[in-house]
Amino acid sequence: MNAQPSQPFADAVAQRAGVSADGAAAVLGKHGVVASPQPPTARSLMIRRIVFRGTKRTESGPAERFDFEWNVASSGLWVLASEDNLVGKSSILQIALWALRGKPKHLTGTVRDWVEEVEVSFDADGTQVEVAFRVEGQEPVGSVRLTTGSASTEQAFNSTEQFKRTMQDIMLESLALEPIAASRAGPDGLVATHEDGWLAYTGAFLSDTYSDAIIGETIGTDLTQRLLQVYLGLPWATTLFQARSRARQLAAEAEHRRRRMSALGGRSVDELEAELADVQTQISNEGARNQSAKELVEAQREFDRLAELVRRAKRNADDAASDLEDAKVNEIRAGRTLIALRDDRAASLFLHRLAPVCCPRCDRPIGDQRRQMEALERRCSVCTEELPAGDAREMEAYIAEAEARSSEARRFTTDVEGAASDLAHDYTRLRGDLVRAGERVQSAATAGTAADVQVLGRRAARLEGILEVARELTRADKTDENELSILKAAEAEAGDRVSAEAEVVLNSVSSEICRIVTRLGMRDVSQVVLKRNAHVEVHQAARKRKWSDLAPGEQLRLRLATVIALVRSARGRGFGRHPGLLMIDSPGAEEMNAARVGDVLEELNGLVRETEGLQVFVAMQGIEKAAGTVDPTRLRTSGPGELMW
Amino acid sequence: MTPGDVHTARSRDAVRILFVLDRAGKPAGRGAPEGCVKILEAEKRLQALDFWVRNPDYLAHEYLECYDQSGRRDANLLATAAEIMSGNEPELRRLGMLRFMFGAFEAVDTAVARLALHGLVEVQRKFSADGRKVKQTDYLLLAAGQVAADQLAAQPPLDWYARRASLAAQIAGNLNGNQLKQRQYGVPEYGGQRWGRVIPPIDAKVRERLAALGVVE
Repeated sequence: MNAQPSQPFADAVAQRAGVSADGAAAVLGKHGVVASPQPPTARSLMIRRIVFRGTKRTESGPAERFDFEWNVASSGLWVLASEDNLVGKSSILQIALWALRGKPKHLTGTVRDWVEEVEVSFDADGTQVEVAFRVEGQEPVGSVRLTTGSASTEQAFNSTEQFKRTMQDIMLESLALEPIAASRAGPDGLVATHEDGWLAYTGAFLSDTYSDAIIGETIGTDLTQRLLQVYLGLPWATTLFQARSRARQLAAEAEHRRRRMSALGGRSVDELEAELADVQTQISNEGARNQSAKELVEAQREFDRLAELVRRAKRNADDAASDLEDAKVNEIRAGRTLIALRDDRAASLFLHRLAPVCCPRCDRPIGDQRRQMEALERRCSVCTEELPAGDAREMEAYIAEAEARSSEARRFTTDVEGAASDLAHDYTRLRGDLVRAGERVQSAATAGTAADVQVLGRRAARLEGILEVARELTRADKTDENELSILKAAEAEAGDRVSAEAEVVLNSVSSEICRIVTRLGMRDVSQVVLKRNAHVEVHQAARKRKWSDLAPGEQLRLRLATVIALVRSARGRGFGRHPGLLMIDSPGAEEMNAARVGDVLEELNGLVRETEGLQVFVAMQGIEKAAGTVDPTRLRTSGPGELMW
Repeated sequence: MTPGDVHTARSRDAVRILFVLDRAGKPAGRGAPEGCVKILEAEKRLQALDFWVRNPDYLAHEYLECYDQSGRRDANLLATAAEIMSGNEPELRRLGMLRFMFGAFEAVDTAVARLALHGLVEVQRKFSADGRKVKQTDYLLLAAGQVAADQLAAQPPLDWYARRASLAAQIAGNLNGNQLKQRQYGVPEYGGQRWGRVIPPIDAKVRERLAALGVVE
């Protein structure tokens, strides 16, 4: 192993990102990127006992109880061998995996329906893990008991989800494995960091028909690369994965923000600000529009002013009209009095000149004596009462007074008439003004110019809203940009540190794989080159072949060699962190048939015995081959026509 | 308020009645009392004629009715109506009358007594068969009354009454008191007025009618 880089990780990152060491450390801390120069040493995992019970229910036959138990409490090779296929070998391995993972892997639905109780116990680096559960309505209900020395704890579960979480917590802790930092896109398009847990690690424990990579299940995926690097135990690999996944998440968030910005019209903050300024300029500077809005306000003000004036003028005109009516009545009354007095004076003068002839009451003639008495004594010739004096002068006085009153009343009427006419005219004029002012208000309110100012106002308000969101997104973008540069620097620094160490580790492991794969029967292999990205090159007889160029049998040998090499490296050289559990399921239908497994079985047995902490289960066809290789206590068989359980 | 305001103008009323008797009275026939020149039969007729003299708007209304009845051909009728309504005259000359059981009524006793005092007019009453009830009151214009009426008709300002009495007599024609009252009831403001209330003016209505006929003052 090379010496550790002398500069602290945060300082190196700060130097790369051009920021202060404190700033870099803060961002790394915030995003959970931890400097991990030396992975913990490997811990071992071993199955101790596999037990399951249930009832077989087939359409053709009666229900049949089964009760399988297999004690496998030591390292080394364990074999399930049968003459026929489809006798239950794979199910035994799958049930063990179910208990180990908390979730079935490739257990068939039929078997799962039959199984009623499962008890599997493991040894996880000295901790006894006893898993026991019943299957109730497709869901596992049971508990996990942990025993370390004399201390024992138990955790219950009653669903697959709970079971899965329980096993993840227990196994990662027991085997000192970190969750594998990764990132993936959610249904909303947002990338979230997550931790591929225990299930991902278990992909490296089984080699079967689904396996397509040197380690784990699928070649070429990011997960496979990480799995390899974790199992290789590369220094700084964990740091690299943490920095990479966080950087990816931030980049994805920035992309998401860019998409949101683009949903806002795809305009930058600068463009939006320019557009808003333009709209505001239009609102404030366009003389015509401004004038129009002003005109509307002024027109309304003028209308209100005129309306008040009209109300006053109407009141004044009404009062004047009422006054005029009164004046006219007064004038008529005065005129009537005058006419009555004048007419009566004329009539009286005429009648008084006539001599009384007879009494209007009794019709008796009025004689000369009576008439003389009236003339001489001023006594009425009819009633003999004394005649009133000064009649004529009094009447003249009345008439003169009545004339004066009548003239005055006429003048007053004329005056009032003039005033009333003026006021009525004022009212009519103001009313006309008011109608025109109303038309101006209407025109200014509905005219395009005033309406356009309102439209511009709404547009400005909308732009301000967009700007607010855009500025917020941009601020976040700038913050993240800074953090992203630090995370990128961390990724690069960790990458460089991994690379510096990886070459040594990979070379060492590759040599070991090459040595082992040769023992497993791949002759003429001169060199195996395992790469960090989980790709592999096999140099054989002057040919360089990739993983996909290998035959299934060769792939199996290479995979076995890799796991064995990792386990041996961990024990012998201090790197490599595979816990040492491997299951090889080789169904006969595969090209990789029983003969091929049989071919390597003996050598595999030797290797396993030589390698401390390795427990390998092989399910294969061919009892004879198996029986000739492994100890009978390590072998479960089923003859022709027999089932494993 | 001066005494002038409350002047009852008894002499003027007497002269007005004199003119009504002169212009609307029919020539005295044979059998008439000695000295009688004209006779106006029934107080109801006298009251109806006096109402038209005292209320120029109602008189003008009658002329417009006659104008319409003439098929609007007799322009003199329209011109007369217009003349009656000119200026403030209807209002100034109006002497309101109360509505009683038999229409507009104001006692003429004082006026007639004034005329009788000077031997200008005589009142003749006809009684029921049992002699207990006045059946009809006739007014006789005597020769001295005729002379006085002629003199007064030429004397302003009393000549106005003479002309109005003539216009009222022209409308009345030979209709008797009942017929004249029926005609006057035909005006809603008159016929619809409550008993004991002043019969309201109709000058505004008549002016509207004149304006509609193209007569603009």
